[in-house]
Order: sequence, then C-alpha cells, then structure tokens
Amino acid sequence: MKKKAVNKTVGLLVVMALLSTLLAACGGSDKAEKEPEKSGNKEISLRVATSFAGSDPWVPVWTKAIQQFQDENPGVKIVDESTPVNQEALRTKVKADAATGNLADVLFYFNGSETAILADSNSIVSWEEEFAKDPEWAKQFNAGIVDKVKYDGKLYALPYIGFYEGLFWNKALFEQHNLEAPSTYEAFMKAVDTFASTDIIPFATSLTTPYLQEALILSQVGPEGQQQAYDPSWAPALNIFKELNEKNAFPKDSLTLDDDKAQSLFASGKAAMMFNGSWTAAGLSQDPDIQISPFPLVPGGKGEGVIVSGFGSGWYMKNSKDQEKYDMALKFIKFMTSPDIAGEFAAIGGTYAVQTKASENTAQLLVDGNAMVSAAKDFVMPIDSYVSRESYTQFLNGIGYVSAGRKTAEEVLAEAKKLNDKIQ
Amino acid sequence: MVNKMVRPALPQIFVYALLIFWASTTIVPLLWVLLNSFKSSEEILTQSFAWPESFAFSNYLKLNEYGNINIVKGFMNSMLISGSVVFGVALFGGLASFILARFSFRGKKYFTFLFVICMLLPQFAVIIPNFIIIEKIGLNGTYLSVILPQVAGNLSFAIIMMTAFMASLPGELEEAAVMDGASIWKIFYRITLPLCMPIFATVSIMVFLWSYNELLLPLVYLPIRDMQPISVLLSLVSNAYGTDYGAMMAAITISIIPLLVLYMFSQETVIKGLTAGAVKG
Amino acid sequence: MIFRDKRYIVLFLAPTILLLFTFLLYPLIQSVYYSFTEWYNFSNTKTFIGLDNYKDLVNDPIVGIALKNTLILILGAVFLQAGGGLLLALLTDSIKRGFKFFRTVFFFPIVISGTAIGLMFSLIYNYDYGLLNAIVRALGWSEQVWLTENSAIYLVLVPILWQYVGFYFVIFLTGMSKIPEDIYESAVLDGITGWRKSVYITIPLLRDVIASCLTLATAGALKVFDVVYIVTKGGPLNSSELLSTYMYAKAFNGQNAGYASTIVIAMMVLGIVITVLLNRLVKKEAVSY
Repeated sequence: MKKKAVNKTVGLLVVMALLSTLLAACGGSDKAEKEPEKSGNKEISLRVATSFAGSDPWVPVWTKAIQQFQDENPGVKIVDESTPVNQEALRTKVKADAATGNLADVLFYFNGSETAILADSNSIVSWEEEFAKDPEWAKQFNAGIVDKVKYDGKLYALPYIGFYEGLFWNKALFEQHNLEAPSTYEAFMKAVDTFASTDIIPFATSLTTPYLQEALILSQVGPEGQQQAYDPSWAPALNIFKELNEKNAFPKDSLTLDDDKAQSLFASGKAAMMFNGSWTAAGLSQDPDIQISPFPLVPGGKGEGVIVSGFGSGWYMKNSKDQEKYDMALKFIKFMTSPDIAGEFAAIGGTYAVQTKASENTAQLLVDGNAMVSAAKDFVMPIDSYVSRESYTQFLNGIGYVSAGRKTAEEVLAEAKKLNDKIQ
Repeated sequence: MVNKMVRPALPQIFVYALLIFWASTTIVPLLWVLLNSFKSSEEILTQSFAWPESFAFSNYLKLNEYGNINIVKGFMNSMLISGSVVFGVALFGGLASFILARFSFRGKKYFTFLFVICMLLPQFAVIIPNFIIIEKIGLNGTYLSVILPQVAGNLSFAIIMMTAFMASLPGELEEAAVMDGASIWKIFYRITLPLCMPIFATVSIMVFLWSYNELLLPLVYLPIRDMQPISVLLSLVSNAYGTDYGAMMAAITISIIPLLVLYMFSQETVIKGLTAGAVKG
Repeated sequence: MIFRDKRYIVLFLAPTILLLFTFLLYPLIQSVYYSFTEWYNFSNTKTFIGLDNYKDLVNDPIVGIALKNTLILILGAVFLQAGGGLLLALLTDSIKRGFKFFRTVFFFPIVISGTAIGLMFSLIYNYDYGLLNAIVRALGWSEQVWLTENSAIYLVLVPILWQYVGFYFVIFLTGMSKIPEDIYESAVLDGITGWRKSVYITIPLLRDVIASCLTLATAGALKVFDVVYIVTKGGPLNSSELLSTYMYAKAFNGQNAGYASTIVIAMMVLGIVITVLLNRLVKKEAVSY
C-alpha cells in the first residue's frame, strides 16, 4: 500500500512539475520582456518591422545599413522583425501588433488605408513637429510627394521608396511584325490584333492581378475621376477588358495564371506586351529589346500624360513614452532617410522621395522608366490605397467576370461600391 | 465464414504492379523538387520538367544571403519548437487518451465530441484571436507563443487516434497489474505506453511534420528572426514582386531531409502484428 | 476493463482541457460573437449587426460554390484518400519483399510542402509551359486550357487527394500493427488467405481506426488551403473556391473578420454534421481482441 501511494505521488509530481514549467515559462517571459526596458540606460533595443525580408531586393542594403547604424551607435540593438509582405504576413503581423498594443518602434509599412488603422490607435507619431524641429532634414523630402501621402491632413508615413507602372513592350517582336510603338491606342490595338493572329501572346497578364486595370481606369477617367471609388464612369475602362479578351489579347489561362508566370511569358519573348510595376524593370533590363512607355490614352479618356506611381509605404514611428527610445528611433529613421543610405537603396531600383546620392545605375530600361516618371504631368496612387480591402478584393475578382462576359461592368462596380460604402 | 475449398489469392505480380505505380507517383515530385533546385526561377517556370541546364548550387548559396536568417539556427529552432510540440502532444494526449480508453465516467461522450470540434477548427481561423490571448498571458516573443497553440491544435488529432488504438488493445495485462496492486500511473507508463508505441510513433511523426512545416504561426507570433524555425525560409523566398522559385526548391530540399530521416526511425517501432506472447502473458 | 478513480480523470484530462479551451474553444466562442458583428481590419471597433452576416452568407453565390466544392472534397477525402490509404496498406502488408521501401516512398508527398506541390501542379496544368500541353503537343493533338470553370475543382483535387493518401496509409499500417499475429495464424489454419483475410479479418478489426480516419478526412478537408490557392487561386471565376480559401480571402485579403467568422461557423456546423453522419454509418461497437 505504501508503495502505491509513493507511485501516485510521483505521477502527480511529474504532472505538476510540467504544468509549473509552463507557468514558469509564462512568468519568465514577462520578466525577459521587461528587463531591457528597465535597464534602458545601458542598452536600447529598437524593434523595427519592415518589408525588407528574404528575397526582397533591398534586403542586402537594409542588412548592411542596420549593421552600420549599430556600429555607429554602441549600446543600440536593432531587433529586425521584418516580415515578407506576401501571404499578407506583414499586414497580419502589424495589425495583430496594433490590436494588442505591441507595435514595433519603427515600421516601414503601407500607407493609405493602412495609415488609418495605425493613426486610429493613437500610437504613432505624426511628423509635423519633428519636421519643424529639423528643417534641414525635412527639406530632403520632396514636398509634392509628402503632400500626397498625408492622411487626414497629417503626415504619418514618411515617403521613401516609390514605384511606377508602365507598359513594357518587346521592340524586336514589334519590328518583326512591322508594328509601330504602342504609344497611341490605335497602335496598341493594331498590335493586339496582329499578334493575336500569330502564336505570340499580345498582352501578358493575369486577370487576377491589378495592374492593367489601374492603367485603363486612370486613362479613362483621369486623376480626379480615379478618386471617385467605383464610379459608374469607370465602366468603359472595364469593358476594354472584355474587348481585349474577345480579341484573344490575353494568355489563354489568364483567369488562373499568376503574375510570376505572366511575367515569364513576357520575359521569354512569348508575349509582346505587359503592363507592370517598376519592380520588374531591373530583371527585364538585361534584354535591350524591352522598352517602357506610359499606357496610351483610351478613346475619350481624360488621363493624358498621367501615370500610376507613388509611394505605397513609408516610415512610421511609434509614439514611445520612453524618451531615449523615442530619440533613438528618430535617429534611426533619419539615418535611413539620409542621402547616403537612400543612395544605396536607390542603386537597387525605384524612385525616391528623398534626395539620394547619385548612383551609377546605367541600365537603359531603368533610365527610361525614371524619364517616364519625370515626363509625366501628374501621378496617382493605385486605387487600392484608398478603398477598403474587401471592396477591392471584390472588384479585382469582378474583372474576371467582366472579361468573360459573365457580369456587366456596372454590376461589378456597384458590388464593390456597396462594400466600400459599408466601411466609411 | 470459414471456407476451405476456395483459396483465391490476388496474384502477387498484380499487387507489385499497383504498388510500384503508386510509388512512382510519389517519388517523382521529390525528384522534381531536387532537380528544380538547380534551376533558375525562369528555367523552372519555362522548363520545369526538363533536366537542369547545369547543376549549380547558386540557389542554395542564395539562401544564406537572405541577410537575417541563419540556417543552422533555424534548424535548431525547428527542433526545439517542433520537438516541444511533439512532447507536449504525446504527453498530454497520451494521458487524456488513457482516461478516455480505460476509464468510465459520466459525460465521457461529450469529451469525445469536444475533441472532434477542436479538430475540425482550422488553425488559421483562430490566428488573430489566439494572438491576442498570447499577448494577454505574456507569451509574445517566447518560444511558447508558437509551441502552445500548436500543442493545442494537434491534441485532438492525437487523442482521437490514440484513444481508438488503446481502446481496442486487450486489457488483460492491465487487469493483472491491478490485481498486483500497481498504481494507475504505473499501469500507464509500464504497460499501456509500451503497447501503444506504434501509435505514439505515428502520431508523433505527423505532429512533428505539421509543426515543422507550419509557416504563418511563427511568422506572425514569433517575428524575432533569431528564434524562428526553418520553415520561415520558405516564406522568405517570396516577396511583393514575385517568388524566387529556385531558392524555394533549395529551401524545400534542405528542409525535408530531417523529416525523412525521422520518419524512417519512427516507423521502425511500427512492426507487423503484436507478439502473441505479450498479450497472452 | 475500466477504471473509475476520479482524481486521475481530472488530473490526466486537465492539461488537455486547459490548452484546448485557451487556444481553440475560447477563440471559437469569440468567433461566434464576431460572426454577429461588423468588424474590419481587426480594428478596435466592432458593431453588433445581428444576423446580417448570416443573411449575406446565405445570399452569397460564392459561398454556394464553395460549399458544393467542400462537399466534393470531403467525399473525395473519405473515399479516395482514406479508401486509397487502406487499400495501399492492405496491399503493402500482404507482400513479402520491399515492405520498407514502399512504406518510405509512400510518405514522400506529405513531407513536401503544399506550396511546392501546388507549384508543380500549376506548372502541369499551365497553358503555355505546362506538362499536359507538352504531352498533348507531342501526340499531335491540340492544346487545351485545362483549368476551366467545369474542370478546375476536380483538377485541383488531384494533388490534394493524392498528397495525403500516404497519411492514411501510415495510419492504417499502424492500426494493423496491433492485430495479434495469432489471429492470422488461426485464419490460415482455417484456410482464409489473400484478400479474404483482409475482408474478413483485417478490415473488421480496423473498424475503429476507419471511424477515426473518417473524422480525420473531414477535418482535413476543411483545412485544405495552400494547394488551391497556388494552383487556381479559387478560380477561374471562383469555380474552385472552397470554404477554407474563401474564409481566408475574406479574413486576410478582405480584412472583413466579421464575415470570415461567419464562414468559420458555417464550416464547423458542416464538419460536425458530416462527422456525426459518417460515424453513425461506421461505428456500431468498439472491437477488442
């Protein structure tokens, strides 16, 4: 009997020990978390969350810059919480952090409708005050761009790396078929018709990606019209999708294709044209036949000389109560936006909202792309920067239905508008 | 039921033909991943089913240049996280299954129903509510933030499998042990547990596999690169502008090797048929 | 044989119940509440809107498609996945040479992530570079768009079902390991061999394992996500959408957590109904040897 009791006790103890380990671990983690804050005098640890992770093109520069900052500021530890943007991992992380009041000290994150969520949490800095304190630094930012990325009249996301979208076309294929450059809508449509009768795909796109839609709507309704979310005046632009689809302009499986595969159709010369973002330019620039130009003006369109371009992300800073942490986060952002570091980022690609040290980036396609941006009369951000995510998902999904002739453009616009109105 | 006249045996050659056919469908994708790990992204998309143009290791080297990830550390973190998950699931699930299989109490069937509900619930459906809970109990930024939700997520599977296995095991040995005055705890770990090794091994390898391949949870709950498991590598090969498929194949290749080794070890405990002697005593 | 000691019941079940309640049941109960609210972007404001989400759910044509597809997937999982796994396990168990080889290779697809399997099949079905069209071309036939509104759900089921046959194979092999060898020995003496041994002895003795596998197959079908997302993105025109992919799209792409919670509740109800029905069919009495 005694032995039995002992064994029972042992069993109980094992389980209790395990449970207490779990509890201890919970408690322990609490301490571990708070310690660095208490001993702030010695070491400041800054949590930074950006999209510079993994195969993102700016990762090498980013990693180097962090190292340099830590070397220049002993006692500062940068905790890099960068997360890829794909699979919505970064969005989910930042929103979950915001929901739990656990925002990183520095963020390089989407602006537009995303700014609203962060601004509503009252935990991020609006930059007016810091700009006033350091006019030298403020001057480095392009004032026109700063105006465009404000939310409710306030600047929360410091613009940094920008992008543009353009019509990429394969000059060799155009010449082979005696076609003019697609600088007018007539030339564009003629190219579509001509290539459609060959085994070259006229226009490489997936009907699940947003780029062509952005170009067509902007061209149709112009910058002011583009701000009227899902206005019925957008309908003619969507009907062009149907027209192009009927002309066999798109890859046969464009409804299920993804953008990577659409890009590879264009890059390998199986397709003659593609409308896509500046991020594809670096890869395409090795082929001298690839040209870039703005999307041509559609008939009756109001968007002449306007391109889709913008600064979809920016530097945010948490409004930290800890003054030392606040100052260090500010220093870090100033460091990242300095001409030296921005110059290194610029060498990878993109357009910049801050002054950058000149880099010797000579790829012709990138030069042409930047020339296209400077020649543009105006630029606008893509639609998704100011509409609700749900309405936008619905809208993009609707484009497939319009192309296939299963829904009218008006129906799709009305559905998206209904969802968008719900949130405002 | 007994019929001595007819002895129809499926021709062995037929059986082998079918098994070999299935085996070829399962070997091909592994080879495909391996071969594609030597190709560039472009080559993968356009020449996916061809022999690689050259056997270059550039994709593997690239993984190392992903800046802030240390592959060796990633493996260690994976072992720590998934190992703990397996341990937790096997321990707590084993205890719970023992109760469900060998104890009689009121409301038992409600527990079974509860486990079925928990198993039906997809992990990604509760990723945000769970994050808030983790924050509230102060687990964020610790290994436990990814371990505990995964233990919880896999427990129902383990309990359902292990209870079924235990319930159908003959109870003679345990009855004999009770006669000898052994404690319940002793019966569990000296008698039931050894007999249940096959199901423990199988459940453990599955739980390990799922935990090891879990991607979103560590990305969102454990954003500290030094603590992240190797599966995160696979999320890093994609960025806003596209996916580096070559790097993806290389990441998969290096991450599945430990899984295959573990699987082979674990299945050594699953031997055909109980030894009659052990049961009859 | 049955124990009754209440202390052990509480003690041994406590950690499990604690974990399940914290990380699954409590969030699930919350999801029930969320399903009655309008909640966007995981923000701090949730507005109680009664049954509006449920009304939307009933009127959402995509939910109809997703429901039908999820049911097809569950049927496929039960019959082809679990059934296929059982068949392979019986066949592998009956052979003398190569047991370990087959046991190892049948497991291969499970270790490869769904992302890679998805990519492979999207490249098989791709129009311009796809394997199927390459074969078709070599045979001199005309190329096809494989993923159409009618075919997409079935084509996307191929990798999903195929990938997890090995899982059920391993589960059934494990189940067979506990069948005492002497049962077979006496069967052989009675002249029961070959497939009759499987039908009359192995399968009946595996009834409880089969019952668990049906629950597993249903649960697994509700969780399928990455392969569909990569091969078709739920398309063309939502024709291959599943409840799980649609829920993910609403929660993470659409950031409409209220409606996504409503879909989760619908999935749970569906799963429970099917599990109960399936278990009624199979489970009569627990078997013991």
